Amino acid sequence: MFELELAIHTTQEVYLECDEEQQKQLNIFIENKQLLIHILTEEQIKDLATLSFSRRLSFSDQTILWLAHKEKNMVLTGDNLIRKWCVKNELKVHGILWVLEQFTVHDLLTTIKAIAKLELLMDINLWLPVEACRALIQKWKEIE
Amino acid sequence: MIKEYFPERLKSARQMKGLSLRELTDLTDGQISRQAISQYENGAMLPTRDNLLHLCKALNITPEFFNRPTIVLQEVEFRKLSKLPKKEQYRIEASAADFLGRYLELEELLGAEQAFVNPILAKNITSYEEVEQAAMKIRKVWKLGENPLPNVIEMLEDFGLKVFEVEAKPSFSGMAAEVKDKNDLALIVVNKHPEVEKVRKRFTALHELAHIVLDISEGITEKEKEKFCHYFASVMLIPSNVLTKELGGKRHQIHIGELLAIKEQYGISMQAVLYRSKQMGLISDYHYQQQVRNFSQRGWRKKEPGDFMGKEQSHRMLQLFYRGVVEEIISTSKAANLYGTNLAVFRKKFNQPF
Repeated sequence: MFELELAIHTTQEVYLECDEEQQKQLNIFIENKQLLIHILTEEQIKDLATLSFSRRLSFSDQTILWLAHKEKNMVLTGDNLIRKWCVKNELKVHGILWVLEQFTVHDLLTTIKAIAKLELLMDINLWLPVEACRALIQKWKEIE
Repeated sequence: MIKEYFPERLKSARQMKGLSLRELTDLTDGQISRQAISQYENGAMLPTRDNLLHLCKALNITPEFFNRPTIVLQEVEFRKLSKLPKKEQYRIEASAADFLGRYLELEELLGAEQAFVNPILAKNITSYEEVEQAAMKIRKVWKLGENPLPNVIEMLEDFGLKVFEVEAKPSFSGMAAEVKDKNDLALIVVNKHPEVEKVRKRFTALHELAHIVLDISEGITEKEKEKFCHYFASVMLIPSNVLTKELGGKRHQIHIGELLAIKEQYGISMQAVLYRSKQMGLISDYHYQQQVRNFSQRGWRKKEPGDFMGKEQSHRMLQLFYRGVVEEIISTSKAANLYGTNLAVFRKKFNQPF
């Protein structure tokens, strides 16, 4: 993902949601400045509170949404509740399928490999939107 | 971080991990002094943003932990905890209170609040007959019939109690607690240590239920109260008429194989069946003593053969998590938080790795 031409930001709260192994993997990109971790100041947290987030979102979710809202950035998420907030607040929002598609668009992955990756993902992640996954696989097959 | 919650929440997080102030300081790699943590817990000082994150990392919690108030438990039956070392007592109490806080918030967000209503109206209970009547009343009101109880913990949760399974030293069986100013809330804590057999877990959960529902006369000694609660649990697991029928009435002797069959079917220990049979006059004191000696010689007083055939765990909270996430009532990160873990662990548990 870090090979895409995107500046990727997240917050310390989200980083803390990862387990040690995931953090270890992310640390390489943090050191290379490909992933920017924001540590919100007390003032920024006060500012975050003005957005009156629902308690249905975690504080980690709120930090990301605050950051994206402030900078008018795109949000990458697999969570529909976060997605809805973004849509309501006119922020661009995408998920894992968009990321996979970007890999193919930027020649980081062939469509054949992308299909295999997505099929594998569908096997292990029961929460993915099946219809959207199938549509994307079909689109890739047509390209082939 | 909600300032007014912070001191109690920090203390609670530290106690849940069974850490002293010094040990927590060490876990922050000395970034936060013992005195500073003490001042945070006393409410004399609030941590800087950096120190808050150091604390989260050391305690393996997310900052959101500090946004929830601490629930104050009132022990109905504190005696069992007092046998444990102080640190272990605090760990169990703090973990139970945290579990309850998360559970209640989850229920509230999903609009799935469930109040506990005590069906026992009898006051000042003084006899085993009244205890038996109370147990049978619950079986009747909860429409349990006379069959074996397939899953005691799930049953208790279905009727509005909250059951927390904590892993503690095997010597700890369980405890019951209530929440200050909340009459419709009751919590039962049971030990999920692998050495604790299912039959013991079932008996403990029902014994603790007795402490919650029975209004035992103040004139009854603590020792006798415990016996009343044992009796209640035993009747809940196997009603007297059912036990009489299983044994075919009054007996001179009972074969171990019969006790084992009852244990596997009804989820009650062989020793509890023997004791109850003696109490009901189904076997003589002499045969009971004979069997107790037999159990001792075989080392079965500590670990009996066989166990209950069924499952013994509640799925209610897990189902609420699934419902909350799939219906988009709560975000996955919020669900992880209410589950008491981080997103990575939660996703593995709930089969959502990305």
